[in-house]
Amino acid sequence: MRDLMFLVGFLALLPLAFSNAFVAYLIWGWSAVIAVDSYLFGFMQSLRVNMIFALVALIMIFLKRDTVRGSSLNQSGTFLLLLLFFIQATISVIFGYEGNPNNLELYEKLVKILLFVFVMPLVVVGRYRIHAMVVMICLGLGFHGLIDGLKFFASGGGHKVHGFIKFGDNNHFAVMLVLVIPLLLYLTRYASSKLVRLAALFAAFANIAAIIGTHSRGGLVTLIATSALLILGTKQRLTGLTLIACGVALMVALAPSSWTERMGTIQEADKDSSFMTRVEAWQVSSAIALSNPVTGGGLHSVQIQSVWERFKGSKGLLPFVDVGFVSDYRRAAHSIYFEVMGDMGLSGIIIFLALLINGMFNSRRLAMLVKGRESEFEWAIDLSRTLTAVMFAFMVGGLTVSVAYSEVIYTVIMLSEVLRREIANTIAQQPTQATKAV
Amino acid sequence: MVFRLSTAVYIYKFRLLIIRCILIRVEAKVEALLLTLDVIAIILLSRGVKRVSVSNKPEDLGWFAYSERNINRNKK
Repeated sequence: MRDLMFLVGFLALLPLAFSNAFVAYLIWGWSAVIAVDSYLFGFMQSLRVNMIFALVALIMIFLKRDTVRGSSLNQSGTFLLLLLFFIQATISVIFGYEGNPNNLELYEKLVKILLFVFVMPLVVVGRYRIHAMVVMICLGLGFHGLIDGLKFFASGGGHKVHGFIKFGDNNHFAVMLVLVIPLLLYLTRYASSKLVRLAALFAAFANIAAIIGTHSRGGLVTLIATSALLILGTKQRLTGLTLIACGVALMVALAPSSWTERMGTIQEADKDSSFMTRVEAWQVSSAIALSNPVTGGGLHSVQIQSVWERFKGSKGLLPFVDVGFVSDYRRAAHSIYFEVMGDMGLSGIIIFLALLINGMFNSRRLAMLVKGRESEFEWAIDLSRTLTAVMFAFMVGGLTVSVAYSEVIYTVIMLSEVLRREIANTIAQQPTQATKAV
Repeated sequence: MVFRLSTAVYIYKFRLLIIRCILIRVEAKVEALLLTLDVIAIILLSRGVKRVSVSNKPEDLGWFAYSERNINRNKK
């Protein structure tokens, strides 16, 4: 039945995609984030929806089937850093350790993500398109949290969220769900339809419930840190912080005892074997990077048994931590920073950090652009703060999970650059219009 | 009567399993319903974007139209 429903939806979306390059691009982005095949169990499961819409979008962009067309951002820092990141990934894939099946698989994924991001400035022009991009991410990513949040509510807090096939286990999933909350809250402020505002608010609560349901300590810390950042950016800081404190108290009071016990171990990270295995993975990843500073070990090379065996027991960049054991079996990097470091070497991590910091600074640059005209560009300031909060959530949540190659963060980084360009263009055009009027 | 009684006993014995099965069915239906709504939402968004591309009027986005200003701030 679901498959039939989706077939009807697919047949409705296809002509829409062929009508306009941006519409095709929007559906391409949505289909990448929602991973609809994970929700289908019949004949539509094997249909590569994302690839179809990606091809349609690229053809439409190539044929310039659009009413407006933006210029490429090849002069911007974000574009150059993304390009450097792509080149670095290519070098790592070529010169990484042999016998790594993750290499090509992840490289293919990364190339698709970067292709999506590189064409964004060509199609995302004007506020309505920037707004549509935010709605698209909420519809795609917020959907997963909504489903599990509802199950959590229905079970009275008993439902345990195990993760999602696209994002990984419960810890990965929790961090990905935190990323969508600032965007949903932005919609509660800027959607003109009351129904959409209420739906976004409900989805935000459901996503928070789903994060609690994952029993992920990293997810909870990320959620609290992101909420604090969002509140510090508002004028009602005291009210907001009081609300967070009440929310946490309510959560602790109502959550099942297994959840409370699990969260209680946050303070005992140094004694926790789960945390120390992560530290061990960080040590091995950084040892790979020190051994291959320019090329890295190749994408997710730390997860290859032969590579793990070569570097196990090494302390890498963390010689001051004694985990007290040496694991014989390979592990994931368990951190976006050590993930990129092990995969692409020290040069890779420098580019990655520069990309994230540059993305965070876009908000500051935009604030300087609109200085003295804050009320006129209120939405842009709010949106840039929202995008910064998403990047911040990724940087905090990424401390303990390997989600460095997720499309949402690269999309958000480029969207912040596109937003800044949009405002710069609007400001640049305004004096000309005023002169014409005179 | 015997059959009915034993059925009732079985239902009582396996009540938790039965409730869980019903809940799973309901969950699956709700999941399918929400997926349908999500697909409808992306269709509506795409139609709105297509309309605005032609008319250049942001209000043509329909349900997904945006407000010029922060609605919550303006209420105060």
